[in-house]
Amino acid sequence: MIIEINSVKKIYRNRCVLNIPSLTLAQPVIYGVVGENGAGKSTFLKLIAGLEPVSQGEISYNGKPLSAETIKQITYVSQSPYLLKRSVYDNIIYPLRLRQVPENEAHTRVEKMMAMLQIESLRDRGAHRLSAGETQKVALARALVFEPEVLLLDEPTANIDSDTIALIERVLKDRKGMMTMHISHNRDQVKRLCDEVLHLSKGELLTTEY
Amino acid sequence: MTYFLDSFKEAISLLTTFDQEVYGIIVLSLFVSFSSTVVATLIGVPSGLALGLNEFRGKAMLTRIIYTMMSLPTVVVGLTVAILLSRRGAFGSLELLYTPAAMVIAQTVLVTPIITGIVFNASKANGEEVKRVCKTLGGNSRDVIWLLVAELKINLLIAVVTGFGRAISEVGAVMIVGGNIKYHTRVMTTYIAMNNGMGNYSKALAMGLVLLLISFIVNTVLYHFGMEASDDH
Repeated sequence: MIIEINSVKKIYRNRCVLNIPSLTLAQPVIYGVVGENGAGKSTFLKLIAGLEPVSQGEISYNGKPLSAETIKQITYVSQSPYLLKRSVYDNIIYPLRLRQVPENEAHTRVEKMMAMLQIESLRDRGAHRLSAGETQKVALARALVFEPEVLLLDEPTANIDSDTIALIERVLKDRKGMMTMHISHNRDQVKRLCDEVLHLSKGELLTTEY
Repeated sequence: MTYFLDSFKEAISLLTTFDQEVYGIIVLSLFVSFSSTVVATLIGVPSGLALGLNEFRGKAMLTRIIYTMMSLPTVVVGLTVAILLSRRGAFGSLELLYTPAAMVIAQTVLVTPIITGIVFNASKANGEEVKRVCKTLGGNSRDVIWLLVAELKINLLIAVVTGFGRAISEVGAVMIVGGNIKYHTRVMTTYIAMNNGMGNYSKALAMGLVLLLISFIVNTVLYHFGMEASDDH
């Protein structure tokens, strides 16, 4: 998996909020995306997820420009994820149904994912009745269940308890062969979890050090 | 007080005597209001979703126009539709004036902006999130639409119930385009207005009670399905 960013700019109302001349991300590792508030971190992830169009330049995935087809292998989880108004199980199985995975196989994968994130007891609960930590775990299970090649996480562990943070970090560490980009303000977490760091400031990529 | 007591007895009698005219009026009222609500739903739901999810030039103005149309005076709609359907009007050749079809058209004009407006508000509030989730999980444009409908089903139900309420209770438009013709275009509201004009207050009130009862039953059924839908998480 290769994400190539060439002369990408994102401009909102005549203000350039992100400017990355050139960047290639080619390793299936965990990248920490750090920087102060307003540095352009969320915008950076949303552009890669195809959720927002670039104003200039191009982002390509495995040599092809981002399109409805190529972004099927890229997924994004926000700080306050939106869960569908249905049960936890139905939320997690949703992306597999979109991909028309046979029901038996989908069921097995969902059960496995729920066990991994320790949310089996929430199986039939309405997704709108969950705590912040539970919501985040369900959103992560839903994002991982279809085995994406690229996982984009926008501060997934903000406002949740330390046990849940440790569990999420463990799950992320255990996923091999997947590129993860993880926005965090927690310096210790970045050192603990991430293999490489992208440091953004005022919309510019400063270093890959932290 | 006697009026209310008499009208209550009259309402019971209207329903229990199986009066052909009364049942004809009730059936026609339901047919016209259901038909217009169905047509308005088919137009209003996609329009509301499209308006809520897309940004385009003139959107603010279009939104204001729809909000204004949500409170269109029924007589103005009736008059406009009547002019268009009259012999010298643009659609005069269709010969629809003073027919149930004309009443359906007039009520559709009244109900469509209501459904569009409510769906627009709902999709504006949650639509972007739903669209984003669907996209990031691998859905295409068609999946986004289906997911939106599933996620907003309570709001859609509210829109339809509100639209139906507007249709079944309005009198001005159906009176003008239907003409309140006995056994042909007379509906509950025009029957009430006519009897009120003739001084038959107990008959008017009795039909009013029947109208309320029918609205209550329809809303109860729809509410029941709505609650079932929301209990599905």
